Amino acid sequence: MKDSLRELLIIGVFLLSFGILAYAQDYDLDFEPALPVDTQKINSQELRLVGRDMQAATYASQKDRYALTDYYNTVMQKEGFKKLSDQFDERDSSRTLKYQKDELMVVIRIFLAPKEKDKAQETRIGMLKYLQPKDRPPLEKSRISFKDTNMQLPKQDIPGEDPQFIPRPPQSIRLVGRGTAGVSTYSYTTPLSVQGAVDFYKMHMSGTYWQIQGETPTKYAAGLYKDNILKKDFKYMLPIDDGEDLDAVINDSYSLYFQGKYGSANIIIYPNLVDRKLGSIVFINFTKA
Amino acid sequence: MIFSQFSNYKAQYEKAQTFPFLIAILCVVLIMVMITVNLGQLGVYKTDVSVAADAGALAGASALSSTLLGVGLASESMCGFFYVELIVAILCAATIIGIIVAIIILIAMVIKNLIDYFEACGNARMGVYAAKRTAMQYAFQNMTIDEPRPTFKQFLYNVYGLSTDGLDPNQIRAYNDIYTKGDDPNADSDTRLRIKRWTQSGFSYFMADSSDNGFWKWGNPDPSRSVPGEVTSGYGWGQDEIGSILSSYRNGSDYKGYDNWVEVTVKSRKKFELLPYSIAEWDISVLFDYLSDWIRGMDWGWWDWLKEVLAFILIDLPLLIMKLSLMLIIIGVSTATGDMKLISDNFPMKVTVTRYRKENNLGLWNFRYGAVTSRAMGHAFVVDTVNGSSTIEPTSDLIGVGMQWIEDCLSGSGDCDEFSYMKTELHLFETKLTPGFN
Repeated sequence: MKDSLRELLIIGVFLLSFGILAYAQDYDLDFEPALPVDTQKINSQELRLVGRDMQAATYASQKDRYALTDYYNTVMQKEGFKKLSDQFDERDSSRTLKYQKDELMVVIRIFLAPKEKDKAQETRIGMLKYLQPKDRPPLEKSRISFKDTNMQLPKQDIPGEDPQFIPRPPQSIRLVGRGTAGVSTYSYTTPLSVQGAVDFYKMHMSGTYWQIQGETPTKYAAGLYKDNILKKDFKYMLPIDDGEDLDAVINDSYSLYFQGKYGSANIIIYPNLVDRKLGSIVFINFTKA
Repeated sequence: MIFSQFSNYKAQYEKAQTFPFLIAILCVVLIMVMITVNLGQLGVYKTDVSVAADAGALAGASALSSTLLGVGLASESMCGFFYVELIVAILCAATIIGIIVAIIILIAMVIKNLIDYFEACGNARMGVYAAKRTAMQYAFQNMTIDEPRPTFKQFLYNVYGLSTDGLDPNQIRAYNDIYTKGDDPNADSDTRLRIKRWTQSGFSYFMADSSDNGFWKWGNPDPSRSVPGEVTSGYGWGQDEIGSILSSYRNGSDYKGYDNWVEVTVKSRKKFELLPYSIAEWDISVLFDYLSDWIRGMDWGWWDWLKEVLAFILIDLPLLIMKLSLMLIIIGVSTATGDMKLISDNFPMKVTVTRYRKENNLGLWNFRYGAVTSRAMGHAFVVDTVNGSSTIEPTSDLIGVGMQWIEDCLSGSGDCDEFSYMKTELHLFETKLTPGFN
């Protein structure tokens, strides 16, 4: 009895391992269909969009578009992929092929490279791979996430300028620095909390050049807004999968208004939308005198 | 001799027989003069209260017009800010990593304009407060208050405890200068207060006093508090010199206990109901169709093909989030019905002024005055011009111009740095007076 149980366990573990192995193989984004001849990789990038890991790569090929379309149809079929769609775009004469095998989706776009003088026009291949688990909605019905590649906060200053007469918050990273002749806009992330950033500006801008004219916690304004639109249960929301509750972010924000010899500055400070543990976001609207 | 002669001739003498009639006629004429004077005074009082009510109503309505102008300009400014920052957000969104920055800017815009809206509502509330206060102030100031000013002797006694008897001419001259100027910069603060009190009439002091003893008893303007719909204040005084000085408004609401009193009532709505004005979906749909094409038309380098494959995720979804964010932004203020004419017509400033004088019996005639009342109603009204009617909403032109400016800026044919457009004339309201309303 014990032996038979042991046998069953071994078989069970074996089957489970096989299943995991088979699962891992099916879900492997490293799958690379064999490249056509005279084709080389130009660039590749790992992405995370709408909560999914993706791999994108671009190839340059000497083969023409028709040959490449036939090639991929054949290769992908051999690999066991099912062709989901084949779309031709008249605007740029490109072709987009979409294949699926289990949960792995492969999108191949074949298009023409920009024409260069005295050179034969190359063909480009764009390949995108991502997993589409059965229990998750398709891409078209998914929501953006702050973990997505295009939703990451910059790790260093974005090119631009800083205001001349208004200090930057400590350890800040510039998001916007756009100075104009009239109204200028600046924005920073800072590890300071909202109250810390409010205190920072009140302390550093209460000297000779600036006079604080107003300090308004947004919660009063938001309360009045909800009262006046007769929807007390109204909540600020955006279709983003994660991050902080927008309604709470707006309620916890502050507005400081300064006036001075250089002009007026409205400083809006609110908790970091991605995660308030990261600190806060400072937005400066400066109008020259 | 004279008496016996008078006694002898009194029965036969015919001269001065009409004298008693003359006396009677004189009395009748005197009474008629007194009636005329009485009626004349009543007429003067009637004119007086009428002028005061008109002045108060007009001044209140004028203050309301200024408030509406301020709200309209704030609305226009909010809308201008919306476009200036929207272009920054759009330019950020045009890069693949810029969408989060665009969202950050849009949320800052939501917060900023939410606070601007809050302040506009507060200013409108304070505007109604200011209008009522102004109406009351002008009504009082346009009344003729025949109250004697404290005399020099009263001034000397009550401020310094002196009388003119013990002072030499130079000292009298010096004190008289202070009495004339109404202030002594070299005196301590208590003395200066006493000087102020004893160099002006009680009514002047009543008008200048900012405490609850003054004409305005409803505190300082506060954006979070409404002044009552109807406010009444009054001032009473006696005819004798000293009586009036120590009396009147210091007795609070007992001003009606005096020989003379004037009362002003100002009635209007408590506040303007200002609603947030958001951009209509159709306004931004056009812009977002344009934006979608604009972003698709941009060269993203080696990413370009990916943009086409993942257009929904990389362009449509971020643009949808931007669009939803924009719908949350207040771009101005509006009225509940959107009918500015109806709102301004239904927001009259009603002023009632009453002047009372106690009757005065002079024997031949009892001078009667009683309470003479006059009413006036003022309101700010919408002006119709060829460019449109006055409004507190951002002008529709501004929305059109803003959208065009963004398109010009993105297409490279316009200047993205400068957006200045404000139609001040469409936020101007006229003032209208309706005397003697019921």
